[in-house]
Amino acid sequence: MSIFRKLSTIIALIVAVAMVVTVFAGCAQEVTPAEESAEEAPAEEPAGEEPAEEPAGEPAEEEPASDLAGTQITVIFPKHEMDTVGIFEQQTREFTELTGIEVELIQAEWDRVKDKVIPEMAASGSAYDVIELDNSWVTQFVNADWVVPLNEYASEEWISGLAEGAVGIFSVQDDLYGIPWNHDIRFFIYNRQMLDDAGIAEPPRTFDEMIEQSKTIMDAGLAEYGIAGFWSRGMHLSNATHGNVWAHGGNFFNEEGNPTFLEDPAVAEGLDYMYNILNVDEIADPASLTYVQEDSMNVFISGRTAFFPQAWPGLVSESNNPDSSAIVGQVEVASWVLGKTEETQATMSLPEALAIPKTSQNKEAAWEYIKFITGKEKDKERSLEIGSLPVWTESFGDEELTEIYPYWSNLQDVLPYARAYPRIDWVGEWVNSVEIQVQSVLTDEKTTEQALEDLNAEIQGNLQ
Amino acid sequence: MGNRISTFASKKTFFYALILPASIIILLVLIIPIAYSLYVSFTDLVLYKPNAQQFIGLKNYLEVLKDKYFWGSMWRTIYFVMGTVSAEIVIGILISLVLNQKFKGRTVLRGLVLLPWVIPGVVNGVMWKWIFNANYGALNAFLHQLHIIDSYQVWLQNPFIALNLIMLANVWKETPVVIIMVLAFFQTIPSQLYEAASIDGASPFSKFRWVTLPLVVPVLVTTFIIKAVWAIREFELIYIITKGGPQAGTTLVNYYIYQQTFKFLNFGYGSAIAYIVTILTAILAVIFIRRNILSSVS
Repeated sequence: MSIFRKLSTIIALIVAVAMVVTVFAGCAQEVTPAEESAEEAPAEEPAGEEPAEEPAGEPAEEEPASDLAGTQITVIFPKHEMDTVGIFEQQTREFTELTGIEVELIQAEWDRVKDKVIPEMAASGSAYDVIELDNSWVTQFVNADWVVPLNEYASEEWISGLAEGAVGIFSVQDDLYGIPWNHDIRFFIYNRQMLDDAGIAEPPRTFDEMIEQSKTIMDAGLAEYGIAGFWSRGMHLSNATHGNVWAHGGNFFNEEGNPTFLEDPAVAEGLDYMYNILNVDEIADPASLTYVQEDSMNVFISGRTAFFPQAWPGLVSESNNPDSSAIVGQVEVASWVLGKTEETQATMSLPEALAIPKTSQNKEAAWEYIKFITGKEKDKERSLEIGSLPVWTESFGDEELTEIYPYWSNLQDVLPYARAYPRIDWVGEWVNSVEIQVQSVLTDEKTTEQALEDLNAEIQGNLQ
Repeated sequence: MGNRISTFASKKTFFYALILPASIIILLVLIIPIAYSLYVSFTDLVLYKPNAQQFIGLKNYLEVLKDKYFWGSMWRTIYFVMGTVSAEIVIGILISLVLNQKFKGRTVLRGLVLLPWVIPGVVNGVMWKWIFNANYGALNAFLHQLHIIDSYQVWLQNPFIALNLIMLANVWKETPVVIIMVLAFFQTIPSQLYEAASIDGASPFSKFRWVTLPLVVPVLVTTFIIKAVWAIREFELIYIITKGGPQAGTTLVNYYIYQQTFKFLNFGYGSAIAYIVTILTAILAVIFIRRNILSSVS
């Protein structure tokens, strides 16, 4: 028995040590994003396609260094809302075929990408070589020293071909930290058919005109409402609020990042406008407080509203999709955006970029990927395939593209009025406070003045 | 004597050897993270300023106690917990009483009542979001058909109504748990008690009031405590249906912790809130454990 007990003890100790070693070995393994959920789509092996050729006229670029072949990089950014055909995955495979650089591509919903990228950056992890850099993250990421300037990689000539507004958003002082891959500008679209049927010759250029025309169209029974806002809790409400405030000539912050909204009457006017179209003029869909952007889009393309003041490129494509739209061929894109006056017209610029984390071990290969994916050729390919707005200024005048998307020439006129989010690194708290206070106004819980005072009180801790 | 000490020592070594791997795993995945997050709660860690982290003692906890949004979320959570758990228990008992009777199809019905609980939380949230939709939701259609409302309503734009509708969605999903626990207990009640009550001329209600209810109260108390702990942790329904709105009207404390920690990246502050809630939940757990110990001793 005593021999048995000794043997049992020895066996138990061996098993215990083996388990401990296994646990530590498992913890030591590098967890790659490829081992995560099924919705992530790693790039497949190249299918023997011919490598893409450099188009004529593109700024001369060096060929990828041959010693980068065999390098593996991990890329993470959100799936483009218009990409229903997997074009980014396809282009990533082409990149691997051309350069020999293996790419682990992770595309997921924006919030999930944020939940992966930010903790990794905060932990100084090196899991990613190319990351999403949203326009609202720039100050935060740069102040935290999480991303590297790309000026040493991208030539001035190359950068100058990109849309100026988008480049500016991802620049801090003279350093460029992200190359745009998604050029999200909001613009004004309307149902031309409804205007014609209502006897309205010209679409509105100001908010007041839109309100009047909405009433005319509603009274004629041509639409249930003038517009449907996307005013449920979420970043979209903050986007809409900023757009409306700017379009009234207001500013929440000055150039130095100090709040000015208590002293700026135009800010209150912007909020009052949202309140009035919902509760006084009643031209906004009452359910706007429960809508996200897609809900507002569905209401518009079902023919229940006449105007969409802050539309995105995918909405135009969707409105002409016979499978989902009841207003095919009826929508026009304005070459202006609405404002209190024509002089105060303003809209949101919400681009997204690719950046290289400071902790990346493969910065050269990462840059090759960014240069390829955001290059003019691939950018145009995506515009042709999925209708995404180009990042290159020249593409707005490209004959092949403007033949398919004639309204893009109108969008060029809108670009100068596009503005970006305030440059603060506590943008999460700012957006949250704006959402709560704006909804308090819209639901009649508070006056505009009260809401702005409460907003100011809430952000004092962040200002310190 | 020496042999007995030696045997005891080797038994002890064997014992420790067996529990060592599990202890290491528990230490790594439970104790250390808990200890670290407790430490973080005493710092001003903001994730986008990781190098500026400083130990600030109880400052986060004091700030939490002065935070009007925290208290708002706590009062809403208490309302949510009391409302949902009470409704689940009442409805659970009623359904259990029915399912405890003998009738054709009872077995199938017992299986069907479990379906809401089996549905994943995310699916449940999406389903109820559609039901509450202002334009084509089933709730509006149902009430409109019954002429209870003249036109479709935007239910989720009112904070109080939105909170109660989320409670409805939670009750629908969680009541089966109560049914399982109560129904299982009903099977242990001796039938002789009911026979004796019948002989004494007791009505069905009297039987329930004087036989069933006194016996099932201990189970209900245990169920209440367990359900309360679960209800405090409610997150999915809020995240999917309302994102804490309108305004902050459906922001419960767990969702507020998520906002502070993962949206605002205030890990220090969010951890402090989490530990305050943990302490409150632990009090409930202690009550539950003490009840179990006392009842097993008695």
